[in-house]
Amino acid sequence: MTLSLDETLAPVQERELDLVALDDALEALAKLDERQCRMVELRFFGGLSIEETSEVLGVSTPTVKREWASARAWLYREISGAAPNAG
Amino acid sequence: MTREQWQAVRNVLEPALDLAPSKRGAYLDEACAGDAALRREVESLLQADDRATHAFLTGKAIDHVELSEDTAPPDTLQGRRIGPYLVLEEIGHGGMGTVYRAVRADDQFSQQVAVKAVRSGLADKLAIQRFKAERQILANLDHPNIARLLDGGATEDGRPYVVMEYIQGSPIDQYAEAHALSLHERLTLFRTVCSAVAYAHQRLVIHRDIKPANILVTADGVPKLLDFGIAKILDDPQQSAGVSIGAEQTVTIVRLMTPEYASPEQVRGEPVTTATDVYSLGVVLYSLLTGRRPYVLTSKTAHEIVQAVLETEPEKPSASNRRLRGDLDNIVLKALRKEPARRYTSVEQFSEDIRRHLDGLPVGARPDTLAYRGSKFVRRHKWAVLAAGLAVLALTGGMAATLREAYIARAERARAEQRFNDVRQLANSMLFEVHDAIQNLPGATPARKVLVDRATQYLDKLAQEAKGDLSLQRELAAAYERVGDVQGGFRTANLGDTAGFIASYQKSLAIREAVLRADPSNANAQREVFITRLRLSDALMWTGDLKGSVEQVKQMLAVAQKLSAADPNNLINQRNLASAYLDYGWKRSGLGDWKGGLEDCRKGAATLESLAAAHPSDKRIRRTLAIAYERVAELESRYTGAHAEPLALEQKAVAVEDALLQEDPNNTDIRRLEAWDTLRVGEEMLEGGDPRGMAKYRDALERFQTLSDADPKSIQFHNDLASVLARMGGAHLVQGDVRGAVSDLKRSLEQIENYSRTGALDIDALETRAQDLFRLAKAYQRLGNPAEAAAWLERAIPALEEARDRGSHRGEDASMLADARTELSAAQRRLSPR
Repeated sequence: MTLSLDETLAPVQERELDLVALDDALEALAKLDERQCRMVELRFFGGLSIEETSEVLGVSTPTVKREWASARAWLYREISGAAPNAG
Repeated sequence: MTREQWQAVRNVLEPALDLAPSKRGAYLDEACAGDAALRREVESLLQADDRATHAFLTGKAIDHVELSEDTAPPDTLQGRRIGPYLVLEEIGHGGMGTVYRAVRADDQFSQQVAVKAVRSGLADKLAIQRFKAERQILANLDHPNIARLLDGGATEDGRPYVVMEYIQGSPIDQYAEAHALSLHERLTLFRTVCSAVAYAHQRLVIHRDIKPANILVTADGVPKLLDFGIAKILDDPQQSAGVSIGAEQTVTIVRLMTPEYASPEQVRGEPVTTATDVYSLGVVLYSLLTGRRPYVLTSKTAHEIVQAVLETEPEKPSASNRRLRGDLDNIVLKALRKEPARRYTSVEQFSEDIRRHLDGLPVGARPDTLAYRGSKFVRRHKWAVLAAGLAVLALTGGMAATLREAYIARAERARAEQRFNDVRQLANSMLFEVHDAIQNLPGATPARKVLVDRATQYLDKLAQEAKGDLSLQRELAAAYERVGDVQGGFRTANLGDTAGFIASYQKSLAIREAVLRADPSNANAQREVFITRLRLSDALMWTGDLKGSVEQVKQMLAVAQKLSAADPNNLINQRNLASAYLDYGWKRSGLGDWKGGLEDCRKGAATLESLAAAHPSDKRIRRTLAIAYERVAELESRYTGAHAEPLALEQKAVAVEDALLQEDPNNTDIRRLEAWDTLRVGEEMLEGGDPRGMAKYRDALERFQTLSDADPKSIQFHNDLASVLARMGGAHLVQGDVRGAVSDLKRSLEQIENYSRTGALDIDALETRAQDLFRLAKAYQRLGNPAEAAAWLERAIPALEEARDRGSHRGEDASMLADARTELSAAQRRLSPR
């Protein structure tokens, strides 16, 4: 049995946002709309602004704002586990 | 929900999100038109939006996880020693680097200095060249009003730095306000600044970035000129020959400028002369006299800055302060003329005119004539203005790709590059920030797979387009390692793909070696090759290629010896050399020469012990020391048959781990090491005849169970559990608790069988499985069940063969195999008597 000399990073504490749950929710969102999923990746994981996101995705900034808002509501509901029976 | 349903929901939801809550009811009545399910869905999402706090998804992912110390931005030098200086704190950013306050650490009176270092991420050769030029320039400047260069060099990771006189003071405009200086005092102070600039001009140095922030006035009222960050030597043959500099270089220069103090020629990217400094001094004087900038910029947009700098005539200073009417208006406006040739021809002339004014003599400056007013000028320079506009767009836009867009004729290509950079940035932030942050979170393995897969998809696509881009190559190498880890890096939670694991590490090493060949003295590149080689060596060993593994670690040792010989006092070199001895000794002992291997390990351990004593806050050294104790103990126990000394060493390892865990209780890596060493303590106790060893086994088992429960998908923890149970079963067997042994061994097998389905087994798991099967056979023999024993033997033989074929070098496996064959044929004879 060899214990490696190569250390892994020290562990981290989880804060309030559950990134794993977010990732699951993003997967589900991608099935409904890939672009909205990309948008969240770019903005939240990539740290791009609305303008930068619009440039990368080749859509207008109002479109980014609008689609971002509905993606955000959907993801929040998904993560907080409050989906209704409908749909 | 289907895509179509979601689209329908969005069609109603998105306008509703924009409405005030009070208006939503009426809107929904109409938009949903009696579709109750649709309405329920939209209302639920509107509620979710209300409940979502403002912070939800508004920051960056990275802000949602606390980073450990190790992942703090490596950029800062704070707290580090550079040469004889101890870096205390960051005090500012220059155009291409960071400035720190530092003290001479070996100086009793702790003289304060300013240390300026190039940003580590700045792979911009231009910046490094400029930085070197700056050092040269500053070394030649010796003037009471210019911050003095004290020292210079390169940090251990290859970042050039300069050490300058530390100036405690305020920017000249703030100083003048705070001390309510009179007009006369302001002009005199300004003339002192002029004398410093004139001095530099005599030595063929242009400052190029004169602004109040670069002119600090000390408490004694002495102005000091700082930051020749973008100074250019006048007699640089390439530049003075009138060779037009490349567009990108121009952009870089412009980008490094501060727009409000930049001259028209700088904005246009034209050659810079001493008249440029005259202009910037004019802006400084304007601010000093009026408290305002020459141009009123309201929005600071690109267009506005271009317009102001190139087209707008500055307002007369007397518009702010009537006392300036006449001479001072003329002097300031002459310095600020758009065309360099029409300004003062030298800083001395500028200063001299101010002196004449102070002495009541007639001055040289005359009001400008209408013929030269901006509009005509602009018309003649239409194209230059357009180009400058784009440059300033880049300047204010702040994105590298926008910079390129300004100058690359084909807009398509610029667009592609922008996308490229964005994606690269995204892939990186996913791979490094998010992945690192969640790496040790319990249960994070599936999320890591998703993150890593996506990020590498992007990077793979980019790799072909980016040959020759060293910084991208390094990112790719690191990316491949991250992928390798998640694929099959046994040392951390992984997904069990060993072939992909090795391939990814080989790719990474190949890239890192190419990067090092391109820049052989780069300390970062050296270290990266070292670590990647260590990881590849581990990977090869775990997948059964011990020879390949030893070959890698041998090369690693050779490099460590060379680096350490070149710089023996460097802590990293010392640590790497000790680690290399330890690893080489450990791995090569498996190939036969255990005595030589043990010697190497002892040598590594001794060095690590003294390093740990000298640097108690270095957790890496302490971690490596714990492993060194464990390895020396294991080799001594295995090959010399001693147990007292190995026991003492294992106890020392546990003590080191205990101390580390006190500082960082959730560190799963150290918790795992401690669980192992607890088991090893138990083993040595039992071997030495102390029956209390069994309690240590149980303690260790419990520790591993806890770790595995927290991250059930990690193969490593299952392998660990399987190994511990196997060893426990072996111990029970020796002690005569045969039923206990059977139970342990079956649990051990279960762990392995379950997880062999998720991917290939590493060599440790293969050995464990073979031994479990063999020991079960033994146990059933002891229980008087030869048929059951024979059945286990039949399974044990191919497992032992597989372990051997896959590279097991344990002597006991070979003897087990021989034993198993003999016993199986004996059992078969007994079971089927003729």
